[in-house]
Amino acid sequence: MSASVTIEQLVKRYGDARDGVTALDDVSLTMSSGELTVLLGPSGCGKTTLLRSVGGLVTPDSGSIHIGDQPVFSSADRIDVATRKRHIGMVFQSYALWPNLSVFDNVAFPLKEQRTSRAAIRTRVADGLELVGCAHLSRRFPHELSGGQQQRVALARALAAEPRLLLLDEPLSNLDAGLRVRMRGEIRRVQQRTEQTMIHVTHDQGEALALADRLVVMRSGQVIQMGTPREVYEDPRTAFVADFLGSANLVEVRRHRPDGSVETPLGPMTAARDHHQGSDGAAYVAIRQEDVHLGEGPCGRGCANEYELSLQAVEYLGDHQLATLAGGGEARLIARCPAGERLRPGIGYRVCLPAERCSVVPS
Amino acid sequence: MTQLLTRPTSRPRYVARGILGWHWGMLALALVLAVLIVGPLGFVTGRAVLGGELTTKVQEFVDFMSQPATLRALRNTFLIAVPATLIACAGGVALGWLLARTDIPGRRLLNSMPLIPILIPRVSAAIGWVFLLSPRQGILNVFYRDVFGSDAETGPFNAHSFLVIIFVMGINLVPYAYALMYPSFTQMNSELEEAGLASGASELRVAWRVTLPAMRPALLGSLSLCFMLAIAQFSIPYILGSPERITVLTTELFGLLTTFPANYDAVAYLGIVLGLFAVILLYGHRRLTALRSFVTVTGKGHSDRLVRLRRWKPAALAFVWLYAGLTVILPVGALVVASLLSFWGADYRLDEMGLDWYRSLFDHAWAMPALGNSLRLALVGSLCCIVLAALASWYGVRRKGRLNSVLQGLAELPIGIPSSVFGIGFLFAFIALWADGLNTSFPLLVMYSVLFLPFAMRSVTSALHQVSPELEEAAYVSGASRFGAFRRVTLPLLKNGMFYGWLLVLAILFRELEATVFLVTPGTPVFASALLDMWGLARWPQAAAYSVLVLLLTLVLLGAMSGLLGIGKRAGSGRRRPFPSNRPGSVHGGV
Repeated sequence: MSASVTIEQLVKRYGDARDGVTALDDVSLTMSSGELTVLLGPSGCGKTTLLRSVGGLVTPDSGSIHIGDQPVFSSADRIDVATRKRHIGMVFQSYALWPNLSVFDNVAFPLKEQRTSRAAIRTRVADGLELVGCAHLSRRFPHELSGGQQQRVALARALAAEPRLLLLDEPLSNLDAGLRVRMRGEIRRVQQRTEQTMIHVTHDQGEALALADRLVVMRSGQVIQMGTPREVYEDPRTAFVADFLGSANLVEVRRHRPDGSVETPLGPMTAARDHHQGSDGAAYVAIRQEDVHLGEGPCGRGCANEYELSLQAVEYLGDHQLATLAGGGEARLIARCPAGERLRPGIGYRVCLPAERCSVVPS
Repeated sequence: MTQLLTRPTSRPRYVARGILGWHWGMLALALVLAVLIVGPLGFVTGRAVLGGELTTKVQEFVDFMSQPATLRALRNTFLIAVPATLIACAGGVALGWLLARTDIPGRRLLNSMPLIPILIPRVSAAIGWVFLLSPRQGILNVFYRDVFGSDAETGPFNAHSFLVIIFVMGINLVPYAYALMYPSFTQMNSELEEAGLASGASELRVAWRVTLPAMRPALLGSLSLCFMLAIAQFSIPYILGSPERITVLTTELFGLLTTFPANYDAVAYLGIVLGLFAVILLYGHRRLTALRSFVTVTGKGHSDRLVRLRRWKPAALAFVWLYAGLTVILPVGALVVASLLSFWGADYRLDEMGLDWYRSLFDHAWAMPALGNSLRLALVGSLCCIVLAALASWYGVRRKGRLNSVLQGLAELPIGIPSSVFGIGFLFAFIALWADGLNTSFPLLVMYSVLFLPFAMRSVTSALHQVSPELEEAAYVSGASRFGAFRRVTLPLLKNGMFYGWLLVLAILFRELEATVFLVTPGTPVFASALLDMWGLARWPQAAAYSVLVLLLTLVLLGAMSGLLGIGKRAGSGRRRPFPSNRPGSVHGGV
């Protein structure tokens, strides 16, 4: 039943031509059947607009959207299938459970719209609630549920009619931190059991990394990078992705040297990957905080990038600590160190940046 | 799956879907409202401007306006409306603040009390005050003279004076000011006040410097609303003022129409003058505050902190009860007493009182039919009104755009135009289009469906704001059509708001006279006009009995209806609260 989604050259503008906002700027994407795709980006990047376009709640200006083989939107062919005929499910940020209907009736609503027989509705609602562990709540009303329970019921309702595609619009953002972690595990579990194609929108990078089969990073209406969470995290292609996903250190590149290394305020630096090649404008060396190694003497691994930096401040965070290191000029590095390490501010450290963990990225 | 492929539509970007397809539905509704609201106003203007050379019309207008009678009415209107507005707003602010923001005892029970006077027909209230303050026989006058042993035949109060007219009008307009002030006070973010207190200001100073300025939009709204209602007021100046020949614009209008031959041109001129006041007022109001700026008082939507009144508690409570006494207890009490007298002027002695006048009502030629007529018209009219209001509010809350602002402007218009002008407008419209229709109740019915549209819209809109768009979208995603989502999700959630709106409009329409008086025909009187006639025929105790009967009827009906609602509540959902929607719902609302 699950379907793939193909989005081609989707454009959506709000407001008029002069002072409007481009929410979607020529977005093209493919999502395979049975995959959980996470759209990640800061607020206003167009991720929710993209999701709502797929759902038919927003009408794009141009481009096309296919769910499976069916074109649901195409400006060229003048097609715009109504939301209710797209056979999708959706979980909203506020859950949007109808307060006038019981949990059972909420979950049964999409089935009734499909003209399912009464007996079938009863078993399928029961199954759906069973799947999310809320079978005992079916006679309650939404206001009698906790946030997590409302969330589960919303998920059961969205899945009830066995949609081809499930859309999740920041469903975890109204939950507290602990519950959020538990619920994202739940969503992942349900997804694996039902092999449901899902598109999940979030601005929480931890949630995105934990959930995604494929991660799509968006910014100002454009897709910046996509890939598996590991690919995107380990090999960010731009300074924005490096910073937004895991706040990497960004060291300014002054110029490229003929031997392939780059000149930085810290000194010459060798990076295994160069994504800046062929583009103009500013470049940075991106290195993750956990890849910055501190030692009191030379590290002895024959590191290409080794610098003498002074430790300025230490932020103790319980399970780890963040060390701020300063070189000559205004260059700063933040290193993520084990909590047990004794760090003394004001002292010089040997800092090693393994070349294979460094990437040159455009801004 | 091929059947899912919809045929290509001609305009993919703005597909009008289903019955509630945005653009066509909105356009149709805007047209209906334009015909029903702007149309009648056009006929007044037409009557005043057309039908002769423009220069002669202008000359006629100037001549008519400079007649001493017109000038006197104009002056009196202002002399009465301005102080009455100030009394109404001062009362509304004081009651709103006391009941919303202070720890006055019993505030939960008292907070709808200031609205009760809306349910009392104004003709009855005015008659009640005549019984209280009539110079010779008025109950309070007799009581005063007895207590202080005065030998005078009359006084000390005179019901037929400017002061009493201003006072009675003022206290009877308080509910309208209160209705605007109270929600504004409750929605105010109390942190603003706490910040004031933390800066070392006293409670009173904070109320003056922080709370009141934050209320400015609501206060300006109350001022213009009350002034509009004051200049449109008919029954109070008519009943209290006529014996002393104190005329205002509305009573002058009534005089012009009821003398033979009716001077329609003069009526149109006065209508234009009243309408012009309204336009100036609306313009001024818009300049001072964009009408929509009520949202400036944002915050958590509830205020936790109450001002502690401490030793002022008894005084505050006395004020609230004084208001109740002056608007409800005294006039209604006077009506009851007067209805039991065998004739007006009889001694106030229990053994001479009786129920004869109540009995006489049932044999009366038009008392009972008028009552039935009023009920029928108010019922049907308010139903039409609430349906229009539900549609207009829904578009207003869910849709943006120019067409929608036109629609909202149209729907809000009746609150800004004196109802007498509407009455005249519909009169002229029917004279021009369907004169025979004036012998039926149809014109009244049409007018009733739009006259109090803004009132109905307010209650529907506030209910609609609680229904997050996501709730409707969730229905679309579940396969429901626009209409299906409206019927199965939105409408059930709006039920309460619509019911209260309907009840409010029903109650107001039932006793409406300001506009009705111009359209009502002798063959099909309504309650308020029948009461006025009874009064005109000097059957005073009978008029009192009629008023008391209607008040009782109102009470019974309201009780039955809120009982019905209560049952609906319990059957509706959950056990405790029907639409507590709004724990998570307040999150909905913000999205």
